[in-house]
Amino acid sequence: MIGAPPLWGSEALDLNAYFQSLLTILGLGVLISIVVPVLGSAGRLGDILKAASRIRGVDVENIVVIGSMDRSIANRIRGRARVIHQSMLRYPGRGIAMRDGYLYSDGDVIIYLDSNTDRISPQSIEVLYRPILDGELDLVKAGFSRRFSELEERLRPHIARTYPGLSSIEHPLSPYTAARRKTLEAVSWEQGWGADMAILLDAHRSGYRVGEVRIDLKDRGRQAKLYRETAQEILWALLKRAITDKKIGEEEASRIEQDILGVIG
Amino acid sequence: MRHIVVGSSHYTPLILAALREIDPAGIIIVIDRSMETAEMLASSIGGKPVVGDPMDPRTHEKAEIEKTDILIASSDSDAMNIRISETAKKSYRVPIVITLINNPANQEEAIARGSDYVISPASPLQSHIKAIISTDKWVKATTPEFFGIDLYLYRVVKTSAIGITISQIREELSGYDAYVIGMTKAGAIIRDPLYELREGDVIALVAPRGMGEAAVEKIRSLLARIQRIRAEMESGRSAYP
Repeated sequence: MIGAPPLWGSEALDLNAYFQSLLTILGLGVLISIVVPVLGSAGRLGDILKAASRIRGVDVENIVVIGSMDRSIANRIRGRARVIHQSMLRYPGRGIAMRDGYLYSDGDVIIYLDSNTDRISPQSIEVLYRPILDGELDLVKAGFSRRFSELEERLRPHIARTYPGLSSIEHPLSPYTAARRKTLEAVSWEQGWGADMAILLDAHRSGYRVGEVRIDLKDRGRQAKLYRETAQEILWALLKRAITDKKIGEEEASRIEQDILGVIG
Repeated sequence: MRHIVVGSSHYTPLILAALREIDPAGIIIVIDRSMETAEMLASSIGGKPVVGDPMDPRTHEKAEIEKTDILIASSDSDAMNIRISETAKKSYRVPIVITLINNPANQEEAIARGSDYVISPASPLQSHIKAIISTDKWVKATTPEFFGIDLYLYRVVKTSAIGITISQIREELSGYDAYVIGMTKAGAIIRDPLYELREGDVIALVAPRGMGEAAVEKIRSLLARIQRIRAEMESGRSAYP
């Protein structure tokens, strides 16, 4: 259990559970799994593993999911991370990699980081998972993706309208996420680029507490090209859930799709 | 016998059909998170569905995993297959644990974590593509790990191996732990040691695992030597001092 229950006023006081929760807030006995999907080059993976090794107060395991059959990255990080190769080598397979990482991990809290993160520190990782250990949130978003910032601008009003509880999330497409293990059980995984959106929405739809923290976490490099298909996958991760939940009809979904994808071309 | 099949990938119906075929009276249990999927798969072969998280000990209890003779992890996630296999082997001492691996790069990890047998459906795909496209090149065929052999195949098309006899190749391999047989294009075994290889014939080399490559290298050098001699003869120079 993460986050302490109130000591007084509860009907039956379970001292064992209470002290267990206190230990958790202190980070004792908690395992944090840092999952890093890697496609192509290792990017700044070395910096991430270095930062992870400096985290104090909790146990940390690093899981690297390699989206290819290339063994060179695995050889380079031997002993510093557990490595699994992405089960299905389809592209885009971001969701497949994220799911593999979750299934391969043992942690009470799973943290997803971008392999090409600019300037990462143990403190920024801790800020990401701290609200979960404190029992305040079940899923935490942070930072942003340069690649998706424009798409995010366009999507945010639709997210706010269909799922008002998520209107405060400024960067729903950020690749930086921390989640309580239980939260990820509720996810209906998207295989490609829609995975981050699916995790956010499904956690919220299942009643888990979702929030965002402000930290300077972003992917490195210039804004990459955004393909129409990529935007479409992300958008449909939202639209199909909104249709299922009867937030919008199919006609409106098509209108939103045209509105957003029309601009991308 | 009792069998447990975990997960519902593209391969699961094929695995279930194979199990039922070889063990018509056996108990086959299908574990999946989705009730609909578990029931559908189990009913296709007269098995028993068990619904639950495949990693949850309560699911293992429901499936009576400790009683099973064979467990096959066949979800579409290698991560899950490897972890379930490890649990089955180490916590429940299941006698035979088979792990389906979608990405061949995960094979070693699956074996290291306790799987008895690893099946990688994608591996034959690679060697088949190579075998179809590559002629006059050695192709390493995929064989199950437990056979403990290397199998290399060579299809003669161009001139490099044409005219060479199987006995020449065997002679070259004396001292190597490897055996070579030849097949004609028509599919007959070449028994005549002086038969000269022709276009379309196939050479197969079998060696203990890990020793095939050295033998293949030896044959490559024989072929290169013969080609050099032929070239020299054609250019009118003597091949011998």
